[in-house]
Amino acid sequence: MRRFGQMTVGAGLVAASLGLTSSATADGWPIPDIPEWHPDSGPNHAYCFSGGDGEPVANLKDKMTDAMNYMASATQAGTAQNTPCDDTQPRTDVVWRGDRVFYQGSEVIGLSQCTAVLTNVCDRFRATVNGSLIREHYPDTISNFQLYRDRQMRKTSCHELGHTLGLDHYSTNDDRYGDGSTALYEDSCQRSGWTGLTGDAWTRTYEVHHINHINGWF
Amino acid sequence: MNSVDIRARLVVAALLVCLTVTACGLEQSSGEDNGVGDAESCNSVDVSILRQARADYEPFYSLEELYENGSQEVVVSGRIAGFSSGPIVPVSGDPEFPDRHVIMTVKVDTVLAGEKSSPLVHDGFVFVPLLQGPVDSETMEPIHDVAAFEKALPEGTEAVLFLSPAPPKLAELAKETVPGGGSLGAVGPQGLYLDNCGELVGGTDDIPGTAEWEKFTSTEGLEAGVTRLSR
Repeated sequence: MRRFGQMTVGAGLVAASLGLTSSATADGWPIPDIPEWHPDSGPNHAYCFSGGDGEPVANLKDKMTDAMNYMASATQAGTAQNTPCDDTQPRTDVVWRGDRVFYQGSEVIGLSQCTAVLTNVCDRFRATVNGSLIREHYPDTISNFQLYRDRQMRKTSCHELGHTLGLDHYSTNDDRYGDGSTALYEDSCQRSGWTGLTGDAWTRTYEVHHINHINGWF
Repeated sequence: MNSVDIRARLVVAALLVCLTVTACGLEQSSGEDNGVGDAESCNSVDVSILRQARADYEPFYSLEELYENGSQEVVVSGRIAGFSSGPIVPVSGDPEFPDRHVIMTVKVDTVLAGEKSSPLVHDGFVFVPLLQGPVDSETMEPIHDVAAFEKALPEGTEAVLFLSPAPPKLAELAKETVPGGGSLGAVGPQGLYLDNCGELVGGTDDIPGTAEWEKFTSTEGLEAGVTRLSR
């Protein structure tokens, strides 16, 4: 058995082009069966950047900020940056970090977790983007490596922010709406995994059904 | 905002979205008793407690892909033996909210692949760290205690685990909390599969909805698949 991390850029592209994602359950919102995945009600989904070793580098901060601004323009959720992070209730909604991050013991591209619950909603999410793993996946030895890194950081920032808005992973293989519109699920940064070489719009946007879920709450 | 307001908002939000868009595909109970899921005769599991975080990762779209490219050193089948408090890992720049863990202990029935002498299998048991989830924002106490894990994932539940060594920081902090002095084995997003009254379910994330994965509908079938690949 080989070790993790041997997935190539090409393999990521193949997965992306096939429109494959990781989940096969119903299109629940927020993330099914986990009440604390509700964001609080707003009007703002405020954010801040972690300090210390978890402070994102400038380039990654830009991608995170882009994701927040996209959310504010495409949905009814507003945003505001807290400096520093507000640690009294209600706390800053999304604390962004840039660091190596693990899910159940395995290193992953990004991770969102609710860290504090207040009255049945999440008072504070932590969203981490693993810039180190992204740099390793798109090494200096490939052409246009910075472009691919930037696209991946943008996609994973959009993806993790989506989780803090209650969105899950969604499979392109399932007709979740019951209307034959499986292709809808290809149009979302909630697809899991590497972007490969693509810079398509889905890498930085949510699709309409999920925007409506978000708007229904905010 | 109080909890009543929040519930009301949730109901209104769900209705609005489902009326203005298309069917949401929300799971509904038919009220019929099909004989499956009877707590008297099988272990019904609630995997939501294992999903207290959501990751962006590159999924393996088939068992073959997972087997060939996954990070696991050993694959085992067994039964959940219990849960205990696990390590608390500090998070840089976020000191108030360390990553709390519980440790799931699984009694191994069969080593399906990998070395039978793997240090991840200790005296016939494996030990898996799992994120415990959020704390209450006011009391700062975890909202899911060990008993909640025991209730959601009953003792005796059949499991198949693809195990790799836990990250060094986590393993070091866990030394004093791993029962029996064993080594922690990490499952990641695609390394834990459970029996839910005869149905195979993903533990820490859903099983990809590909035809390759849908061939496996039970833990027995998955065990047979791993055994075939290991030959």
